[in-house]
Amino acid sequence: MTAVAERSSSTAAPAPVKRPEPPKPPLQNYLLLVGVAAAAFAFFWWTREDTSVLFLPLGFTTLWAPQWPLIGFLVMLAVVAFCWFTRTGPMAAFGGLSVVVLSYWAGSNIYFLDRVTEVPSRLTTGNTRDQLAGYFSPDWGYLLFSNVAGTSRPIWGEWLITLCMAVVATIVGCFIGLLLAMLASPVSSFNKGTSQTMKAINSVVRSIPDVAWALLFAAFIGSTAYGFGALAAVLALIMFNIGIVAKLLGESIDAVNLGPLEAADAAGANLIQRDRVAVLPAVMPSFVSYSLYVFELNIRASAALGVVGVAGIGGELSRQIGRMSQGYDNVGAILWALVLVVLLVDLLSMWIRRKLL
Amino acid sequence: MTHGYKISAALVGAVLVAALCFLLTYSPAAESSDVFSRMMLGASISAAVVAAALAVYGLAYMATGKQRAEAQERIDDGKDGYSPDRLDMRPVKPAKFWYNMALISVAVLFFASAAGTGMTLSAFLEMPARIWDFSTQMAAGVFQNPADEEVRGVWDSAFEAMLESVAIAWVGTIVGALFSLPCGILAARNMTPLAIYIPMRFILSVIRAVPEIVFAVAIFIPLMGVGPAHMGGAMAGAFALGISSIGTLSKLISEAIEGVDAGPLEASRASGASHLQLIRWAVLPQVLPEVLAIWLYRFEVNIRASAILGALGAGGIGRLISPPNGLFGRSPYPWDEIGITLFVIIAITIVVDQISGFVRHRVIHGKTVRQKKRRKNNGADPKAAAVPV
Repeated sequence: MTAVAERSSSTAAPAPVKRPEPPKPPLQNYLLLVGVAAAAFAFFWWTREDTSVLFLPLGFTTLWAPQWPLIGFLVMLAVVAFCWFTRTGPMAAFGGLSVVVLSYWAGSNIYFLDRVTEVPSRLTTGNTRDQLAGYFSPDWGYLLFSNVAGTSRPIWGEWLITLCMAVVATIVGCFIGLLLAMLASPVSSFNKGTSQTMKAINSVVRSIPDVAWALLFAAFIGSTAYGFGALAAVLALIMFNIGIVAKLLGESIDAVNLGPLEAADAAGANLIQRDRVAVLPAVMPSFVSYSLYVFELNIRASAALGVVGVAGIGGELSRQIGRMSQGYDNVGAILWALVLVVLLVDLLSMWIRRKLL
Repeated sequence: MTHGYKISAALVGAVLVAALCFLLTYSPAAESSDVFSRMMLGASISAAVVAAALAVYGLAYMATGKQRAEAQERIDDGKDGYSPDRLDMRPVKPAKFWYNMALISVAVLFFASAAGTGMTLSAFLEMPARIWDFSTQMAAGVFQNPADEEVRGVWDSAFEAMLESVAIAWVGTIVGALFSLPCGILAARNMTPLAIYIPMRFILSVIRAVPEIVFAVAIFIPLMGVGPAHMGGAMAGAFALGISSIGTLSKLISEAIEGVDAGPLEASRASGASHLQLIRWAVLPQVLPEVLAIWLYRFEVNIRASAILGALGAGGIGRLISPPNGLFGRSPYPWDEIGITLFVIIAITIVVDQISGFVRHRVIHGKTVRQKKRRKNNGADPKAAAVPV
């Protein structure tokens, strides 16, 4: 638009026409942002662990500042200045500033630079190279023919347990999740109080990670952390699935077309009949596709849950990780097989989805 | 195929499945693996139950054959002349034979798998008492006097570990976001030629297929280190999350780009924009809100995923709770500490979810929603109406 205006002005009127520009953002908001940046600088200075310092000799005196907080502060100021000169709104500028502040905080919290600079030396020395080489030359014979250490159970049987756990947890968890999603959505729930309560319960269920669920259920079942059966893992996966399905399906129930609901009401349906004939058929396709997605997630999660000692391939994985220096190629075999299984399940669920939907 | 044939075919199928599964319990595979034999036994029993039910159903179907024939005759009679029966009839429900068969096979699969896992369901009987006992202990832990030195230490370590998890998730999301925008553009059909599109899609689907624990254990823990944050475990987790988020993020972003409105694209092509200018002026302004929402959503997912990586030794809250050295590794479980830790996990996760949900809503819908709300109940307190939806 601006280009057209310019061209027409240059041909018709020789007087230079000023391009229309967005209005200047309010200055006091930007000053506030600089204040926020300064506060963040002070905070990072206060909490720094790296004590390296930059000096600025000025003849009569020498200014100094801690190195990394100063660099972070300059980046923050650069972001604010960039937003000012591109005439961005103060809210967007605040968003950009907070991304920088959060990234600095997170990076310093997990020792980003120390670790990254250490990678080359780790690659050349120590046993990292053996480890990586072991992972990339997996021992397939172990995966196919050997038994779990100390027992007569074959390794492929552990894969079967993992699949079984995923199937059971998917079916049970998805149905409970469907029920909770129905109760939690104001469209299909009894009243506002029920839906709000169920929403709160769902968000609590969703916020506990699956590892914590597995450990909790292991304790509730009454076993020690090692060597309990599949029940704890299945229950943990069920809770994990309930959270996901209730969240995703709740959103699709909220967005359901209101026409069939009105029609059901007009025909005199009560709440359950209305949910049955108007809501359920509308969300069924997304329910099926979420269930398949959840099944895929369950395979990965149950492989990871084994790390805390539950049955299935995950338990074997954690045992092999535990005997580190001897287990590299075994761990590699399990991990490659995991990729293969997840890929197969992905293909299978894609096929089912295409058949059904 | 009439209904009778379908029933008999399904009956034969169920009997065959039951017999095959039963025979497989004597196979060499079943002798070496108890899981397999249990699964096959469960499958054969449930298939046999299905076969029995189908047999009963088939007998009933055969017994009512005469009545069905009469009814059909009545209906056929009405084709030519007047027949009140035909007009008064409700529309015939379409047969859902294959749908029912699919449901039944899912049920068989369910029972076979449940038998295969070897769950001891008797544990359910003792569970309620234990749950009540441990929950009260956890609640007592949360409501302890936080001024106490020991209790404060627990709260501090829980907060520290959870904030470390958030930091891991944030760095992971930043890493994923940096790579995902270019990858998403390269994997969008309307932005790239087929020669780049197909390999890009393939790479992304491979990344999506690899679980993040594989990235963590196989690549980043050796490279970055294992254990608490200063040993490098946190970085390993962050990078594993980052690399594995590239796959999902790029897929979602490429779908957003493919759904972009073609008008601005045409307009900028018409005014002679190069490819980069096209992306900058026609594509990015349209998809940026959606892309930001996708990134924030992934941040929420990453917070949860970082817990499971922590159990493998990749930093964060998982390290604090998982067995070898964590809270659940001590021999009488310290339920008060576990309660405090779970409380911190729930609280911080919900707070972060709320914040990111608010930002997402704001980014996608803008300020307008809030203004509309304020206008609707103009008599009420404007501060109260300004609460985000």
